[in-house]
Amino acid sequence: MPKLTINDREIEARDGAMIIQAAAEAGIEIPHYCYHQDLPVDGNCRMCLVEVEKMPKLTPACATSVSEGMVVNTHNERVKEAVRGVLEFLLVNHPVDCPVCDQAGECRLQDYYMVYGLHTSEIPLEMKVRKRKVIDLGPMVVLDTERCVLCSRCIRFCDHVTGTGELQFFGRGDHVEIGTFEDRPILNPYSGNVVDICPVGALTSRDFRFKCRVWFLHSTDSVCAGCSTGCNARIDHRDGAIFRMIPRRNPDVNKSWLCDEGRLSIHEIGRGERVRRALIKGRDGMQAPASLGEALDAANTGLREAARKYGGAAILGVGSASATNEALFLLARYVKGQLGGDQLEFRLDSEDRKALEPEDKILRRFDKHPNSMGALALGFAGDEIGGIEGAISKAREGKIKAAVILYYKPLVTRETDALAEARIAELVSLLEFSVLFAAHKADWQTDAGVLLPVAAWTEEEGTYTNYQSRVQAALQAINPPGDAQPAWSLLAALLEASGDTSVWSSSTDVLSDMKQAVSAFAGIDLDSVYSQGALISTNGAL
Amino acid sequence: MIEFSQEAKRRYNAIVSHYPEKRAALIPVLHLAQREFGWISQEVADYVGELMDYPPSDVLSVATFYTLLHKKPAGKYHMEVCRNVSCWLMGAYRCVDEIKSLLRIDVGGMTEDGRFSLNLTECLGSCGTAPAMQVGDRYYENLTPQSLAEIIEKLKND
Repeated sequence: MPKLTINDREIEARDGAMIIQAAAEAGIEIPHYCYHQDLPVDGNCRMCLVEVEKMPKLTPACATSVSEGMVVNTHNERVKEAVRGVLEFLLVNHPVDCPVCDQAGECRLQDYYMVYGLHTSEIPLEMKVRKRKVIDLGPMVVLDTERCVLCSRCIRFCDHVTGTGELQFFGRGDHVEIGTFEDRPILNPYSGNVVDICPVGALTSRDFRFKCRVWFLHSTDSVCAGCSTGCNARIDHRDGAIFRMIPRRNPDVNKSWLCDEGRLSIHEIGRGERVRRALIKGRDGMQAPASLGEALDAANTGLREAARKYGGAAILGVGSASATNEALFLLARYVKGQLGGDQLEFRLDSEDRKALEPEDKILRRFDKHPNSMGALALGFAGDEIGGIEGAISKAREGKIKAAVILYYKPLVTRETDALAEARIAELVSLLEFSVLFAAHKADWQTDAGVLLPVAAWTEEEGTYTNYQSRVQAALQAINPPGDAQPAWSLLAALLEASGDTSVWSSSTDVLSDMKQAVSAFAGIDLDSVYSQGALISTNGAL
Repeated sequence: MIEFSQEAKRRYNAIVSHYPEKRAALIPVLHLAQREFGWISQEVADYVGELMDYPPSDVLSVATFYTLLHKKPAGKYHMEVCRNVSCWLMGAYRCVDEIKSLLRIDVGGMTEDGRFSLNLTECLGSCGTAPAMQVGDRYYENLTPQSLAEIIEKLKND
């Protein structure tokens, strides 16, 4: 652990750390373009030049490792002058088209110009080297070579992270451009990341560009619900509409990356009609709209009646691998504690097995649900039932008469989704009485005794347990539509109405209770859940 | 789909065998490809990439960096006239004008029959015999408009 001094501050750094990392960990920002903490060091942009005592020349902080007794200065006049010079060179051929550039507001050229530059350009616009603009590079990326500072982050991403090598420099001198061979599209499933890591407006997102200026967006920390990896993400939204999802760094889960499918899964919430009001099936077999209070009453009454008539063994709780831990915990508590039921299930399509299976070597997993491990830890994989098909045959035999069902359609779609949904539909059609929590409308829902509108992902706060059994929190970004509420909150109302004395005013309250009630969750630290995630103990159950 | 001739394939194998790993031989192989196909087209870059386990983007990136590798068709006789200080003082640009008028092409251009192309180049290291010009692997030195006319006449009939 070498000790060094940066800007007159004593700092202890990790062995082998570069000056830029040691400084960042101490809260000192050194300007940079090419350096990225999850990519190999390149040292080409020269923005991170710092002065190190006893070194004759300024040295790049990203490529100089710390050593004992080193004295570094990152902002004296000599350094500032050098950085100003570097920035001026980087801007020599820049088109300065900020008003029509989608990066404006989150552009490092703009940011550093305000701090280090503020110079007048010596190069008249008509003398600048013109390069190609608006080049289509596939489904996620649009390239503008004029704005590029040639930092090579995107090239290194394609070389070292995906290993596909689509992007490269072409040409030499001030005519160098980045690009792909013959402008071929970047088709690797992680291509959206090159847009995030581009520090300037050279690579912009096909999906997001020109949809909203970034300074109007509000950001909410979340977790991608597209598969069991649980990549940490940030949701950018405005006036109740989600505009984009970008990765949030978590070195233990997704580093700085997000897959393209996950990135685009935000659009899936708005696709299809939402369940906005509760529906109750009347004596005539037709569903009619009702207030949430009426619907919860009807749900409670119907389920209690079924439990009385057929016994607790005829009541099934069907969780969802897309539901939050909190919703699942309260569902289990309701079915077991209030209805006397002992059967819980959540597997529509072997989620428990798929959750651990990687789809590629980077992030994606075959299970397209965020919380299969949570459902497992909360006891939703009933050995006795053995998946939804077991529940269907039991219902057919008349052993299961009523159920409380959570169903969310997957946000990253696969061909098998229709089959999984058909199974839920079949189960609902076989039951005498069912209470269905759903976010999106579907034809088969007319069979449900009570249909309750629930908030979808991003519309509620809650935690998910990823494939590593890491509990991570996703915060609420936007409001759910109509009467919809988070599933945990509807379940809390059901529990309260049936005499449970606990009071939960937030999902965190539920999580605290879960910590006490479920041994797997006993050891988790709530602060960690809201930062890097907290591992639950799986007791070798897997 | 293009392919090396048998002879070029033999040369390719010989070149690659000089290096501890195949990929290290990229530049000599690009020279070979240029001899074979005349210039490094995208098709050639794609072919070389496939041959050497490089993504085609990497091959083209290297090819576009080096001026000695042509990124557009060059004539059978690619004339590169030095434009640095010694040659310039000794009348390189007069020679360039002479070539332009004799062949009726511009700098960067090629004659219609594909025989000659003209370019300027940086120092050829032949300052003692300025002005100098390189055509393929051959140097022509102490150029004058008269000697150029003779050279071109000779190459035309070659």
